[in-house]
Amino acid sequence: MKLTKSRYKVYSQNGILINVVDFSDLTKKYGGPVAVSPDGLNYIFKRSEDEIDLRRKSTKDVKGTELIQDHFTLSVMSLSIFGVCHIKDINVYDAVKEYVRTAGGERGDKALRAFEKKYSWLFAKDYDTVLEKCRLSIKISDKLDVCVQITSKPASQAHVPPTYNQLQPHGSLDGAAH
Amino acid sequence: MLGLNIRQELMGGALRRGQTLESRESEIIYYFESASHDLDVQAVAEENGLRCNHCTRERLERLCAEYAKNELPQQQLYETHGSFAEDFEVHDKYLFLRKFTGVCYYDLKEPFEVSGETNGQHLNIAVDLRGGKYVKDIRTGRDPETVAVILAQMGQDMDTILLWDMQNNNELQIFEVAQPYEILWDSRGSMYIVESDKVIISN
Repeated sequence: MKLTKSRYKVYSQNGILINVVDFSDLTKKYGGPVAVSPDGLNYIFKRSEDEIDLRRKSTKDVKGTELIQDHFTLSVMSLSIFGVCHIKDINVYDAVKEYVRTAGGERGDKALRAFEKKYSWLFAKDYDTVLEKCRLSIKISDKLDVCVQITSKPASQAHVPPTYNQLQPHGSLDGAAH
Repeated sequence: MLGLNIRQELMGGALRRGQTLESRESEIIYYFESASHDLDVQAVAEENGLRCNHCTRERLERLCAEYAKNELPQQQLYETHGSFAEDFEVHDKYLFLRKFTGVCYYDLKEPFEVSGETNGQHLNIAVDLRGGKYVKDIRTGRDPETVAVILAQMGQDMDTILLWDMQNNNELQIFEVAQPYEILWDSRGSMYIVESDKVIISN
């Protein structure tokens, strides 16, 4: 697979090329891959901050909430010899709110208001504030289970570059040749 | 005191005036959504007699969307707090939360407790933060019963990789590797460690 060209090739076990799959139309529509399952068959596609920024610049009157929705929308994709298949979209923002409301039962709305107050950094109305104050991390399993970590950036770390260890969770062989 | 300094170093370096280590902690929300039954795209294609050509993808996508529509995803939410640098990993059976001092894991079949760690279990790893050792990373492959835990020593280029047996909660194998290296997994869940001049193959 060539991620930069949004293309992959399918070979038979004898090494005969069966198919070349181009999924650039999907990356245009849903964004690029941000997570992959351990078996390499399931992916999460998500629009990057640059793509959302481009939309903001190119579209007049686009609302902050729409950009936030874009930022929190994940597309679950599955790879097969037939191509990359879009399975479903998950809007994390709405899903979290819906979960809290449902878990609250009859007092769901009250529970949601308390939750929004507690996590005000996540439920800010302004896209830039959300971007500045929270970080998304996404993982997908072989069975299409999706786990999203939403972390608040502490004020002290909002503008501090990450440490070497944070950038490199393990040593990379890329630098070995140098 | 030494343990505190190491923790401080891992959490972004020296504290500024009036700043505490707690102020560097983040609020963390985990949202988990599982598919209620497996969706095998290849099986869907074969079931519907689709052949490999460029026009089948849209049809396959429609069929998969139909399957996905009929399922009720199980959702769970878990609230916690910790360092910005700590992370998580998920595979078919467990959700792993990595802290510098250890690894906590949750069975995905059991619902998590919101704002609690009642269902969480810990890997029996002894991490001596005072001695400069910390959990640097966790990696998972296809085998849900094994996980790789990477321990690092502050200021050293050697990492310890533990291949962990989830069933018995003990280590299967231990590897001492020099940076740089990469961890790879094959389709059966076996782990390979690629160093600059050799490859270590785990059983």
